[in-house]
Amino acid sequence: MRKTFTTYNWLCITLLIVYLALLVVSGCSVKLISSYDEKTDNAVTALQKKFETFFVTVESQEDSPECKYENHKSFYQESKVEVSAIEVRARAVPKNEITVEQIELLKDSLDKLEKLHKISCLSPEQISLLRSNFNTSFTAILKLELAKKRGDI
Amino acid sequence: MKLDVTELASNMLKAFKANLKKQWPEVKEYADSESKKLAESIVMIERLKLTGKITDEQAKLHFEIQKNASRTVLLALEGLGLIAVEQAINSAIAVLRDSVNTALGFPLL
Repeated sequence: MRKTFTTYNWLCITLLIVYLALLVVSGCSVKLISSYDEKTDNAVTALQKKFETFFVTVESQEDSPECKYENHKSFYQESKVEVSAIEVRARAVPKNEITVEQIELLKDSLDKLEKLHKISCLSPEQISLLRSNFNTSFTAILKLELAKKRGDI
Repeated sequence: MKLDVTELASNMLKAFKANLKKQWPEVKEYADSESKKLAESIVMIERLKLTGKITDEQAKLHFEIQKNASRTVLLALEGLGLIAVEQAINSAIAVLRDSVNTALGFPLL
């Protein structure tokens, strides 16, 4: 015998679907990007300070032998370690792909900075340029991280 | 070819805006200031290269760093846009919840 859905059956199914949809709506809020991470904020802020210290130091060493790359190897080594640590943490946070990509770009920029310094001492004009671009990068990373607190764009 | 900061900044701003039409009001000010800084960087690289203060290799490395900075800004704008969309969706959900409860006369949700 062929079963047919009565109007009553369809009404029950419709009400059930609506009720389930409302349950979903009431229980969930949408999250498109990760939550704010204080450790990332602090680490990136500290790294920016390290870079600025480096730029100020190298600026003061213009025309002196101390400006050479060999005298600043520790800055590059330490910065690479710190960037790596920030990257690892960023990757561990769910829905954090944008920040991860920003950190990867920062890592690449650090490599390029090191190559520049290996070629020759960094002149004041070059430092001015580098400071601007690195601060742009740091600001962008922090701007997004702070906005993840929600309510502050 | 001499680069013009104003024209460069304007073109960069247009590129940022094209990718973030809906969220533009929230991010415009930040995009505007960063476009100007990035344009100035490009012009400075050109100037250092043309005056012989940096080599081709150095100019290329500086340009790569500048490109990375531009991409980092664009990523930030994308993220800010996502947060704006998220807030809009959650606000709509909250309104729906309030409407349902008001219509029913009791807090079902």
